[in-house]
This record gives sequence, structure tokens and C-alpha cells, in this order.
Amino acid sequence: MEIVIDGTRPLPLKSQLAEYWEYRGLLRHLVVKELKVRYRHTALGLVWSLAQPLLPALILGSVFSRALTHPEAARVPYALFLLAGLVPWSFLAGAVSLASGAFVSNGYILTKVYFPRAILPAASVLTIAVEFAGGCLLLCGWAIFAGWHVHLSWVWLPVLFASNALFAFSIAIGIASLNVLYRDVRHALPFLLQVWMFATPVLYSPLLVPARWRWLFGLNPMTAIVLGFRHVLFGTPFDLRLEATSACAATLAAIAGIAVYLRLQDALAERL
Amino acid sequence: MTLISVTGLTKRFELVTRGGAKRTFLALDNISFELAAGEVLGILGGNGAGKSTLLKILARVIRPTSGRATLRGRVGSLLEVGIGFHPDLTGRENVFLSAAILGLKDREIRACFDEIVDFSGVEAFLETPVRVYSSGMYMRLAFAVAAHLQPEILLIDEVLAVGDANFQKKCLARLRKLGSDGQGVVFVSHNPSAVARLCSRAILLDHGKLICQGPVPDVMATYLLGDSTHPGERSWDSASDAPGDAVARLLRVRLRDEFGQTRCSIAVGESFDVDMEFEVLAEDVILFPSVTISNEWGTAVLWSTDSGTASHGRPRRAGFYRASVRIPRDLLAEGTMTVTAAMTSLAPRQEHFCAPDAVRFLVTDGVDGSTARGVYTGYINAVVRPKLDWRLKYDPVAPISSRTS
Repeated sequence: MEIVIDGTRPLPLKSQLAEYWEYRGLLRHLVVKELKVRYRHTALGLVWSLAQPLLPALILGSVFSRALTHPEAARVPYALFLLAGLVPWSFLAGAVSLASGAFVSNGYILTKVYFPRAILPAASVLTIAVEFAGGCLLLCGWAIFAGWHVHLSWVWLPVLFASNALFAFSIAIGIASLNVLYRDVRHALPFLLQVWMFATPVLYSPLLVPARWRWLFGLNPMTAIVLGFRHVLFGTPFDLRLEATSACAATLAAIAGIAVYLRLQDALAERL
Repeated sequence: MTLISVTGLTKRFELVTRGGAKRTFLALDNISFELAAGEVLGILGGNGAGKSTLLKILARVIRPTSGRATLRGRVGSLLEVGIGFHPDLTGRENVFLSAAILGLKDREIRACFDEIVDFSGVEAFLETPVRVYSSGMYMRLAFAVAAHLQPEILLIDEVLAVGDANFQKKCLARLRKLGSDGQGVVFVSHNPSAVARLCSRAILLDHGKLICQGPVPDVMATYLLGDSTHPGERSWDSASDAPGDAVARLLRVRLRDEFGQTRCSIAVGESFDVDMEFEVLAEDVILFPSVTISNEWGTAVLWSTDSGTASHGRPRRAGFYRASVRIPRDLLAEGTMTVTAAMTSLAPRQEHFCAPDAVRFLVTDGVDGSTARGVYTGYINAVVRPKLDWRLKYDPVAPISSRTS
């Protein structure tokens, strides 16, 4: 094994990817550690992770009833409709919030030992993913209970869940890197996420928005995933153009996040 | 085989000054060196010399601005003990987590898990969160993990600054073993005598520049004695500078090994001569040349005067003299020593010259077992370290007062 440290040339991308594979064991250990630390000394343990999408869905669902859904989607109980939006959204928000601090809070490790840096935010995202796998099961269970039948198209749910995780990870590594340079990020992030949630059709149906403005949802990377969940589960109308533009936006945002990380990864330890 | 080759390594940091202007700071300036298999390389230098920066670059924690380092083999970096330990996790969980962060695979951790636990001696508390550990237990477990990394190249910084004497001894023994097993070790320490005892070679950094590299005693001498003092030899050319009066004047003081070479660093197991050249200007004075050797704390370790030569107690003719005194092997302890050369006459007692700090030299000790230290690697709190004759006799018939059943 030979490692060349060259000041003028960063490690080739291929070797970087090989290193991530080498360190997959560390990723597992970090996820297990995070879950243990989060739920040690709690009586309910992982059950708490279900509270995050479920309680807001029940609260908002009982307050607003069906005021925010389109008549077309009215056959879905509003709380269930909300849960289908809140599961992917809370996953994204939770993963990005936790992962954005991954470099800063592990600074004492990053400045002492080398391993591929993105392992840390990846562990944060996977931790939240484990918690939200439960949220997904809850969502499916409720849908079946409410009278929907398990359908072949449900195989799309894991795909959507994986895309959600991948997207969360890609933007989180960029945000986590920026957070090292500008600690403002950490303070601004909760507000940005809140604004972003209202801009995403989580609490409402996009059909409530006049048709000529609806294309704006296509600029939002999360639209595709949230609407995807609802379409697969409840057969709500599928707008291919909206889905495609939103998926493109998600891809672009993901690339931007990864690019920021790749640009900053070598400087992280010096700024911590 | 060369394990590490470093060429032209440079690291420039950007600092923002109070006014907001940017200033660059050269932490490492064109450093080149190599580490061969089986070698323990010490990095010496004062604060801000760039030692830690160099180690961090080799550990890949930070990247150099320019230059190249090639590392052949797996690198284990111990820049701190207990990396990744989480207080809420149990001892067992922390062993696995910390070892994974240090780059061990699960298979490797499982293979040496029992050994790690044995080494640490915290077996009974393995399922207890480490936050309830005593700091000693915590440290032992943390070091046990680190000690069982089996890299070809080990980078160590300040690890030895923690823990009690017994623990440090374990660390040092482990380091020496790595060196003898054919692995390479790069060792940064603020404890120069630890470097002297463990390392086969050293490099000296100062303000980011590599000042010298080579065998430890030479580099240590440059480091500890510096340029401004007078290692090994000192002479006074002009009569006005030279210490002395109308009776006698000092010309030169020199440290010489048995081959006649001037030396500024002497191993404990070597004898050496202190040469003192002086001029006698007035006849009919009974002169006593003397030498005092003091250690770095200012304690006079030995004093000796000419009491056995033919001219002892007699007046000397005017002219040039060279007095030599042989300092025997296995007498001085390791450390930085200064030589004071003086000339006195009695009745009435009068000092004709006294040159304190005339020359400085370094006494180094190894751990090969041939000196009074034996194989003990720790600090010895004694001013001299003669090798004395020990005898041990076993008496099979003497009654034993207490016996454990």
C-alpha cells in the first residue's frame, strides 16, 4: 500500500472512492454509536423517532381538517395526507440539521486522525434514515388501515426513500463544510428549513395553487419526492413535467453540495 | 526499505491579522527527509518549530501547500490518546469505535480484543460506560487500543505526556518494540531525553526549516546547545578577551574522546578528557588548575583539581601548558553539562581565572542495558549514575518470616 501526499495535486477521485469502501466499517460503527447515544437512558427508545412525523400530522390534521387539500385529494384523510408529506420532509430536515454540524462537533477527531471526511455526515444521515424507516412503515400501515390496498407500485417507496436519503446526504455534506467556514450556517439553517417546508407541498396540495404558478414547484428539489410519495400511496394526480423539473433541481442541488464538499474537504481540519 | 520519503514539503498558513489583512505564515519550509524500516525517528524543535504540522501532514489530517510525501505501508497516527471515545458508551463499545476511527477493521479488532483488554487491565468494567471510569482506567484502555494498532508506520505526538510513570514506561517499551520489529516510527516529543533514549535518528526543526538531521546525539547537541554557546571546544584568541590576570591566562578548553576527536556529545558509557590550555606569565606561583562540571539545574556534579602530576604543589616556569583530566565512563547522568575551568593559588587563596560555562556538552544514554540504567526507560532522579557492583545471593536455609499460602 502506498500513499502519495502531493501538495499540488489532490487525491484522485477513484482513490477517494476506494477509501470510502475501505472505511465502511467505521460508518457502521458511527451509526450504531449515534443511535445508542441518542436513545440510551430513554424508556421508549426508537419509538420517539415515530413522534417526529406523527405528532405534527395529528395536531395539524385535527386543527386544519381538510382546509388545505384540494377537493380532488379529499378522499385521503387530511392527517394521513399530511403524514405522507411529513415523513419525507422530516427525514430531510432531520438529516440535514444533524449532518450540518457533523464536522464542527467532531472537530477534535478531524484534527487528530485521517479518514474520509464525508463519513461523518453520512453517518448522521443514516442514523436519521434508520429512524425514518419506522416512519415509513407507520405511513404504510395507516394507509392500509384506511383502506388502501398494497399495490405493485409500492416498490417505488424504497426508491423514493433512497433518493430522499441520497439528496439529503449530498446537500448536507456541502452545508456541513460551509458550516465549518461560516458558523452562521448553523444559526440560519432552522429558518431556511422552515421557509423551505412551506414552499414544499407538505401541508397542502399543489393543486390549490393557480395552474399558471404551479411550475414554480418544479424549482423545489423536494417537490418530486413529496408528491412521489403521495402519488404512489394514494394515486393523487401525477404531473410528469413537475416531477421531472423538480428531479432536475434536486440533481443540480446535490451536485452543488458535493462540489462544495470536494472543494473544501482538505481545508476542514485547518478551520476547526 | 524506505517507508517515508519526504521531498520539499512546504506548508503555508493564512492568518488574518487584527486589521483584517491577510498574512501568510510559513509553518514548514521545504522539508526533505526519509524514514527507513526499523527506524525510530525523533522530531526535535522548540515551540512553533513546525513539528506538529509535519506530523499532521504525514497523518493526512492537513494537506501541504507544496511538496510531496510518499508513505509505503499502513499509517497509524497517535496524535492523541482516546480518540473518539464517547463517555456514554461502555468500555467494549468504545474499543470498537475508537479502533475503527484509527483505521482497524472489525476482523482485526476482534482478533486482538482480548489482548487489548488484558493490556488495559479494566476487564471488570468492560460493560460499564467509560464516564464512570477513573482517569487512569480511561487512559489505560485508550492507550491499549492505540498500542495494538499494527501499522507499518506509526506517528506519535505527545502521547507520552500523559499517564503515570508506569504507564509511560509501557508506552516507551511498546515504541521500542515497534522499532525493532521493522516498523517505522516518527516520534514528536517535548521530552528530549525520551527522544534520546528511543530514537535512532532525529531531525531538528526551527521555524519551519530543517536545521539538521542525523544520529540522535549530534542533533540533540545542536538542539540543546544551540549556536550561541560553545559546544565541545572554546578558545580565546586575544589576550584582552581571555580570562586571566598577570599570573595565568586561559587559552582553550576542549572536550576530547579517546580517539582525540573534539566532541560535544558523549554517551554515558564513554570516557573522555577535558583539556585545558593555559599560559603561565609569572613564575614562583603554585597553581592549581581545576574543572567543575555542572548539570542543567546548575548543580555542580563534580569538581576536580590537579593533585597528582609532578608539578603538583610546586611553582611552574612561565610558558604554555596543557592540563588534561580524564572523566571516567559510567559516572555522569544524562543531560546538558557545562564545564567551568579555573586556576587558583593558595596562601592566600587567589583566583587567577575562572571561566564558567566555558564549554557545554551533552551526555546521552541508551537503553541497550549496558549502562547503569539497565533497560529501565524512565526518568532517573540522581545527579550521578555510576555503574556499581551488585551482588545477589540466595540463602536456601534462612527462615522465611512470612509466607503466602
